[in-house]
Amino acid sequence: MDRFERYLEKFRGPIYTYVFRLVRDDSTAEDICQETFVRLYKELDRIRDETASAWLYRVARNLVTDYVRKKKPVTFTVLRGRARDDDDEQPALQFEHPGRGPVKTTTNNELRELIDETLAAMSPKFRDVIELVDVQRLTHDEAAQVLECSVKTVSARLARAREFFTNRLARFVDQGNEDGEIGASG
Amino acid sequence: MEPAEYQPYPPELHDYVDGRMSAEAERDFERRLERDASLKRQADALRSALQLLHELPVAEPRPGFDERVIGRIRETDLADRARKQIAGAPVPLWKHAVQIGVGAAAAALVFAMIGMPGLFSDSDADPTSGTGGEGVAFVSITEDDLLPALADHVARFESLRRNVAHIKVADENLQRELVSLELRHSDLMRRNVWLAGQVAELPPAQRTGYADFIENLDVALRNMEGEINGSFSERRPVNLASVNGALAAVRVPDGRVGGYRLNAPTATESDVTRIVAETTDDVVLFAELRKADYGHDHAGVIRAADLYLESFGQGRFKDHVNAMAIAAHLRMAEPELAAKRFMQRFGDYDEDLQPGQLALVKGLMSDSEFAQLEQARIELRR
Repeated sequence: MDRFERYLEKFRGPIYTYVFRLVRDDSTAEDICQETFVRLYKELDRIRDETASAWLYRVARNLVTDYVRKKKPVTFTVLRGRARDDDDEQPALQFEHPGRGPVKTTTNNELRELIDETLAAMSPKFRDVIELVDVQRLTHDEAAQVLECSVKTVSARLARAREFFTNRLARFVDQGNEDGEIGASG
Repeated sequence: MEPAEYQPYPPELHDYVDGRMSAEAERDFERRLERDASLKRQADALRSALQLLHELPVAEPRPGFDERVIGRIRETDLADRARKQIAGAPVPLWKHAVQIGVGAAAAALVFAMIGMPGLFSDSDADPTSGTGGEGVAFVSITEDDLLPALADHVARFESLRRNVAHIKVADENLQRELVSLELRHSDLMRRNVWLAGQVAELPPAQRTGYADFIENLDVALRNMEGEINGSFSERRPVNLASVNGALAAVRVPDGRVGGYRLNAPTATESDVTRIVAETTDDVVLFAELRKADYGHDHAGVIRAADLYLESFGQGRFKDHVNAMAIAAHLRMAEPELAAKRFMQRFGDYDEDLQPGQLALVKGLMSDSEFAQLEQARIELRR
């Protein structure tokens, strides 16, 4: 099978899902996803198999960023809590508020909505990393390549994002900090 | 629990659940878990939370995504090739006499190739459809890819042929100027060279009709260019019988090309108004109208015609300008406006017309357009 077709087959769903989760619009997600693969086709000779995944996510994310910058920013709830994150403050990306996602109907829509709301409530720099590592299942190294930051930064942000997420979903997960809110505002 | 009372997760907990610890560190951490019930609850909660994230469904784009991607690759590939080929196309001789916007010509052609919205409004021109079933690594040109460019080419040729056939002026310099502006603004020589290269890549069964058209057109255009240059150096009129004869011998390909309705966004009003304000030369304004026509900017043709008539109401091109505006209305699917204009400018009945006016109107449009006009005139008279 042709190399490009293999990539298309393997990453079509994940890249579309990733983009959709950021833009929350079918046609925009499709458009960005198509453009991502067109760029892959053009650069195919220069891309190694071991970096293809990170390359695709980085291109898709940059296209989403371009798209979002052209639209009016929306507010988001800042993740706060312990000052443990040691990376520099960067200009936050302003992603769309989530609407209904392309999720399958489940018996637990409330949980699905809470997951989406919780992720949307995070500052984009934290949401980025949890989306890439824990939803898209990229390695820390790959996420660092996508976000163009250090692996250490990825790990630091991921820890904070996960704790925020775990505590927001306390009633759905078996844990000791049932009352634990680490400071989502709004 | 208030934020101040919150018990942070130890950093190594994340490494543990991710399996990023060494075997020895993992054994040590598991011994800690056995001893520390609070830490154990945190680990369980984190695992449960991650499980929720891992189980979020993977969405798929709507069916046909791969084909749409391949279609888009074809478009960009063809546009890239168009840019390269236009850049390498030979420069026509008359470029030395008149400045031409090469970049604009190239851009216009690329737009034609990729079917920019607004330029080609026929739904068959949808670049995302009908491109499936082929290998994705090799992009070869097809008849479908070329149809928009061919339709544009044929429309430009028909406009040139009809308008050159109606050049009837006594002054040899004006005659040469009018023939030259048709060749220049049609941009057919450059486009023909480019299309020849594209058509040569079509499968033989699809190639023949288009190749004949392009070869015959090349002969006619070179004859036209030779006549312009010859008339200038020999101080004589252009031999229009020769030019028109060669153009009449060009056979337009049948079939699918005719299915495209060409319509481009109009130029800004200020551009044409500025030209009118800055010129007292009716040929300059007439040339603006011809440029709009070659660009399929029908609203621009009408606007330029109105400006011409405002500035040069009894000018030497007034009948030609009115006839072109009538054709433009028809091309914008406005037969009633076409008929109204005809009747206001020329008269209600054929017997009201001056000699040659009806032949001019008929000569600047297709037979089907003229039939539409006739029908609209009948309805308007009722």
